[in-house]
Amino acid sequence: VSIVHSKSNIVVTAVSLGAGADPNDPAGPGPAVRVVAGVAACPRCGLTYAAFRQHGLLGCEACYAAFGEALGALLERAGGAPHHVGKSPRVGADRPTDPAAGRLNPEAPVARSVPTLDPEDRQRRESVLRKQLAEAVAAEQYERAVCLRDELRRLEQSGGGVA
Amino acid sequence: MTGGPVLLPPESIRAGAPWLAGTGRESDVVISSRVRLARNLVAFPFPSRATLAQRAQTLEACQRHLTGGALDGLTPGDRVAWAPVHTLSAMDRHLLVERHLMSKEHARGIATPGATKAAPPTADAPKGPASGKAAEAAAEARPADAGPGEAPKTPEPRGIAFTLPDESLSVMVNEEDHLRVQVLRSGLALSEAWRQADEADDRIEAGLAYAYAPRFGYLTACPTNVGCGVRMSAMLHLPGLRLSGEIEKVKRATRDMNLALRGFYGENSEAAGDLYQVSNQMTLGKPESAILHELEREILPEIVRYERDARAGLMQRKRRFLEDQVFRALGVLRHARLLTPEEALERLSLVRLGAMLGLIDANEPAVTRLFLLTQPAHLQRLLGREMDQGTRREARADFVRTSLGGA
Repeated sequence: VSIVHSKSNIVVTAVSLGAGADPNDPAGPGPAVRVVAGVAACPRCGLTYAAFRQHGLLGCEACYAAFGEALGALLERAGGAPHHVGKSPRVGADRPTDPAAGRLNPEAPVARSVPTLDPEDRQRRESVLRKQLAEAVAAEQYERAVCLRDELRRLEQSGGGVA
Repeated sequence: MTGGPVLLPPESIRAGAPWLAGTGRESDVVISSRVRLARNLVAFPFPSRATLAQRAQTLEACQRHLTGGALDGLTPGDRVAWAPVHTLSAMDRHLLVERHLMSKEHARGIATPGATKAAPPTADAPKGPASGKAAEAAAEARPADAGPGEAPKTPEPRGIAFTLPDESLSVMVNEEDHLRVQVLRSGLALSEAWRQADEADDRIEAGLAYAYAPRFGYLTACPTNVGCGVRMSAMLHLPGLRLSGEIEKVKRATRDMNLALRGFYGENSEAAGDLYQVSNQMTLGKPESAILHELEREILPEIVRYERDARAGLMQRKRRFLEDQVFRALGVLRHARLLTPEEALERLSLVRLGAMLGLIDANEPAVTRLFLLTQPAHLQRLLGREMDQGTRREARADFVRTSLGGA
């Protein structure tokens, strides 16, 4: 089943139309991503893209993976950049969690360091910041440019193993 | 008075609210600065899509962490209060809204449109499917002067943690997102507010696993908050720009810069009390430092300058008109026998302006405090009794008259 959203110009292909979560889908992070041209429903919470467009709210974190392309396009049209560049969780993302309570294992060590970004993430962040920096310079917004340059430096430092 | 634990001691109520103290920078124009972070737990669906059981689990996990030391030592005084909002009296909920410790939506406890319908049915789901909508409609229909409304039919598990005695930090649990961390400070203090919110965020994150993805950043129920999930805002008092007819220009300018300038009480109407809130909009692909810089170093100083110029211009060129406005307002407040909160705010705004410009001899902090103390829940708490709307108008007029030395 394919639905074409005239407004967003996105083809949504129905993969899962179940109202509830897919029983094979783990409840924890890293849901199965089955995006071809988008999916009609989130595999974890069952929210349809149409329902999201109607109410404006997503149902769970897995919705972002399920509707990623459509959401990215939507946000870019609204003035956003294609990639997040701000703060990211500072504690190790690999810390064991207790999914039932959503709590991190209190026994696990807490790393209070600069967050570790994977190379692809860092590259995309750099590209977003460089573009904004160029725009700020072109518009003669030098104070803003300094601010963005500092942000780029911080990013480079976090990549160079400076904790 | 209304049952349940007393959230705030009477002296805190009488003192107004710390963010209204006029202690920060540029406080002649910038009433307060706010930083808000939207965060969600990876383990549960977002509140509007979660079952009541899941919301209760979220609440429990967050409460345990927030009151178990996560927020300790972040603010002077070091006490963390916790309130399960769904069990609070209507009066207490309104009190927290008036003090800007939590949102109207959180007080109302009505999840976003379609939420109750969309959530999969569970054993503990609310019975009447229309109850949520009906309560929301009732809340919408309620006039602004209406006091605390009916308690919501469905007690949706939600809570709030806040620090005492300074009330600068609060965390709403199960609002639109699982966690809404807020820092609120007097005057222009966005950098300080951001530092405090950032630290609180780190502490919270040390015990609760956040929903995060490299591309989209912190994952939020509404995609307009995704990215760094930060909303920075300032509440501004702009009577000079309204009187000089320049407020529309500022509105247009902020819109062009992709910022929102809204009346503080109500989104589109003329701002009651000339209080406006300016905030950033887009949070994806913009670092917090850039949002902070833009607002604190570029936009807000400019609006402050415009407002001061407008005030100075009125003093120089339209002094008689300005004095007329200020003294009429003072006259009404000193002699009125009935006052709605809207009228009180409108007149108090002009009296504050007059005090700031030295046109009248009034204690400016005391006048500013009345902005809050004339609100329905504060008025009732202050006077120690619940009153209907008509009685409140009488009591408000009496209270203001006494406070401003009228007859």
